[in-house]
Amino acid sequence: MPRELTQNRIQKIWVPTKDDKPAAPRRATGAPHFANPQTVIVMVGLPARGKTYISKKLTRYLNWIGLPTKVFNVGEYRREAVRNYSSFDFFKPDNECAVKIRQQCALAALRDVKSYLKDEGGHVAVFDATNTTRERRDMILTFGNENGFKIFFIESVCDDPSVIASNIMEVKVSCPDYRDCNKTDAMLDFQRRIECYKTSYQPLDPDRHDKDLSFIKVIDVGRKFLVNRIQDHIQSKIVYYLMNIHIQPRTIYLCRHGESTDNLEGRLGGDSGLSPRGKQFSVALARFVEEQQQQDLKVWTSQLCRSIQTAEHLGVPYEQWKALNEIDAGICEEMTYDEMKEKFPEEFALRDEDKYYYRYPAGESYQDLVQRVEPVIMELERQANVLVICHQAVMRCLLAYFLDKSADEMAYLKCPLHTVLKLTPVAYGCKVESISLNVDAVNTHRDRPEEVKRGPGTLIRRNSVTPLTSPESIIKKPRIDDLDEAPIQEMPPSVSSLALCSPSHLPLTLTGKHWLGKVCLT
Amino acid sequence: MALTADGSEQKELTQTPLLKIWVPWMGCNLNRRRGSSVPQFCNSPTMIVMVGLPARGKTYISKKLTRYLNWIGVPTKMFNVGQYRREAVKIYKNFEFFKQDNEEAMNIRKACAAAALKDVTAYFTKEQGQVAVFDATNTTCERRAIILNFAKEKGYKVFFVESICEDPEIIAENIKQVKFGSPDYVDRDIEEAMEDFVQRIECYRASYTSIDDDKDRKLSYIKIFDVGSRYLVNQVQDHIQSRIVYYLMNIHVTPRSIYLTRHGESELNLLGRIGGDSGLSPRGQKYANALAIFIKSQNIKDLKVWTSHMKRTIQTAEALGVQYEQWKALNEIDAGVCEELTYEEIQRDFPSEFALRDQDKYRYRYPKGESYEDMVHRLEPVIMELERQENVLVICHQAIMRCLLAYFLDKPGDELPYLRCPLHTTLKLTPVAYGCKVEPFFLNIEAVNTHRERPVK
Repeated sequence: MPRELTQNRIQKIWVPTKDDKPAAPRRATGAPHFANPQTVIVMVGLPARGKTYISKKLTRYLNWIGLPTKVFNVGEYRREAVRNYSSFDFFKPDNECAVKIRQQCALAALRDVKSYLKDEGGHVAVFDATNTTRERRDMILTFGNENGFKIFFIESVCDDPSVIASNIMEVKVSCPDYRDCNKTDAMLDFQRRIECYKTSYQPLDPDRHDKDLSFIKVIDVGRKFLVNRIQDHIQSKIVYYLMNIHIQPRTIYLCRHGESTDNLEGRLGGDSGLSPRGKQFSVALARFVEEQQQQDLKVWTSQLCRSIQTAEHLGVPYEQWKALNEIDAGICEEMTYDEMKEKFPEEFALRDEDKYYYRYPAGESYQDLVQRVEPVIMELERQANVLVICHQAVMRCLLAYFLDKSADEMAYLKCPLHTVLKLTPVAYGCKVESISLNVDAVNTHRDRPEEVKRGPGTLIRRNSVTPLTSPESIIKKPRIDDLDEAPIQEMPPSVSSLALCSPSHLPLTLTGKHWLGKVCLT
Repeated sequence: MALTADGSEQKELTQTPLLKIWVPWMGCNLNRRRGSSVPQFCNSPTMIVMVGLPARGKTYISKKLTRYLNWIGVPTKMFNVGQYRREAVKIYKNFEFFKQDNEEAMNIRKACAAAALKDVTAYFTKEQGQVAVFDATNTTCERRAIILNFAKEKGYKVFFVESICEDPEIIAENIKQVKFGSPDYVDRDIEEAMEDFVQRIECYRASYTSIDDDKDRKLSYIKIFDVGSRYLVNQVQDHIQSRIVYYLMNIHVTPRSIYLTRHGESELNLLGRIGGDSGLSPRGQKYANALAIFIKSQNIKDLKVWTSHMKRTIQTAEALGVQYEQWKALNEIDAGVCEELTYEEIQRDFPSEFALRDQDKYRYRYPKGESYEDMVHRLEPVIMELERQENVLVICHQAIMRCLLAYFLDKPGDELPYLRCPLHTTLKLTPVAYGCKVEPFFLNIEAVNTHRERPVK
């Protein structure tokens, strides 16, 4: 007898009914998760080779595409253990006491990796440390074997002194270790720190010793790559991503089309043209773009009339992406929110319950959007200066990627009409400038409703303790201080659109004391 | 009248009738505007230049890559210098032709390479080609320098793909798979052919210089070691090279089979209605059961089963009693305003749309819906993952199956929308030599016919 199917109410995914009750909603994505085996990505390389930059960026990308990922930066553990950094002497290979501490920090981090992957619903852990000796890497491989984790190494090799100096200036001199130093001293100390590692550095050897390992060597900031034994889908995606990112300074502008006639009526979706104010915005945008004087600015639009009309005013060539079309509201297309509430009250309520996963009947969800928009992100990474003229939901998706916003926050990011967001990569994150072009428009933003109750498991917070697997299985979660199962307090909107860092807290035991290690995600 | 930034009158937009792309009103220029769902990122034409000793998979890679690029909409053509040589030297005697000191042969071979390059130029300039795959050994610095100069003069980009392999088993297998059937060996027996071919390889070996990681550091290339166990990628210049690298890193040569089938007959199928999200009809359910029996009988190792997010494919998969994965990307073509109509109703209510669709079924986009061309882009991640996987059963829909089949069987956009994918028939695809063997299995459960022939002009 074939199993009966029911469509789960939020995601509109057909699942077998269990007994007479609809099955608990699976947080399935639009594409199957092929990364079933959990993976530990292990960074390798001398200091100032971009390991942390890569770790953070990769983590941000994997989380955005729906794979719970977290960075474990051993340097952070060290900073907790040794409150005051004195000098590079700490890193001397013969400093026995320090060597012990550093070993302990690595072990503590690995313990947390294990906990994250086994108990907290994590899928990928990024182990960010130098890992420059075979001994250290062997220990990690053993750890992986014991726990059934796949291990993938990312080695960053670079001998260009200007790149290294620039890295040090960008992220090292301002790091907590050097808070009491001036820039020159910090630079000098750091360079001597690098020397401490050089003597014992054993690069990955694809010809002999490491020929059976899975890894990618990134050489000279992406000029060249050596890729060895990719095992699975997620490693393949990681390699593709790493091969497309670059560190050339550039600016990305995100904005919505000018106000449309549908906007004026409060209607969702559709394919209407610009209102008079929308046209005014387009003119203002053209002026703005000219003032910005960006070299070789690429302009991208969706294939909907309002975004193309906006681009037309710029008088420059633009590319149309169907993938940038607004979220498909299915049967609710061209309705106002009131009409939707009236005609489909249940759908309306469901959407407020879980806006990220909610799929319009015969339409899309934010989760679907992320998948659809991924090639755009990949190409944005390849490009230099780009202006993307898109739509509210799409812009939220893109913004969430750049600002590392969780699925939960994404659907409520503020992307008002007639405002351009200027994104500039800086250090480990992204600077955002919000520029209103001073043309009035309706407000299309709906805040998260107050009365929405948030039960356990309905919201997926990235890097949080809520497991991603179906609620059917009982997973023993570690009791963590103040994070039990209470939802994270929502940050006020003004902060949430500019915040660069979402800290999470984990207890760690080191030297018998109970303290928190901050694992910063920007 | 609103003014644009420079004071001129603001252009109105119209939507092209076939593609439904918004363009500025250009009067009679309307039809020439070619849009698609993704921007075309090819600016200068690109030459992909294969490098490697014989029997290293160069032609295999060339053909596969060409097939993939054409499918995703990048006009690509392969130029196999061996073909030119076979034209010039009608009868192949033996490996002595390839000896380094055979001056006469050398001249012929050089002329063939030059002829192929000339055709590359013609392809780019006269046939709007974007990528040319230059399939030859190209094992000497000298030959590669000639190609680089040629490309520089013309403004073409060059990307080298070098295949390096010293595993004697793999090489022997390659020779068996594709060389014995080659026109060069059509009258030989297998041992003789093998012996000759091995000698042929030796002729190249003495003068073979691999791309040098130091001297050639400015070149763009990928080196593939041992059929994909390792890759070295250098100086990827642009989008298309990045896509090519990604594709090459995902393909493999492990024998496997891909089964393509549609869902069982659905309720809407019975009513002659397109699209929608209905469940299986009784006969459809029978098919699902028959499919389960069929699959079991095939004794497939580690079969992955994929469905769309639509009820009818999932119901079909459910009958198999195994785990399956749902892909939204496998959903049937979105017929927009025509969803759940019959073709008669479409003709009645949207006569111009109906006519347009028959005019260019591949590019035609339903109002507020999709085109076959859109679907191809939507399906690309599915194809990429299919390349990574081994044995897979894909339970999908008519238009989707046509797109997938067109990829595997190298069918152009023109033929794609008319490929036959009847209900209740499973196609088993097995890669063999340079192509794909297709075995259809009709599981003996009657169903309606949903196929519409190409209208006679």
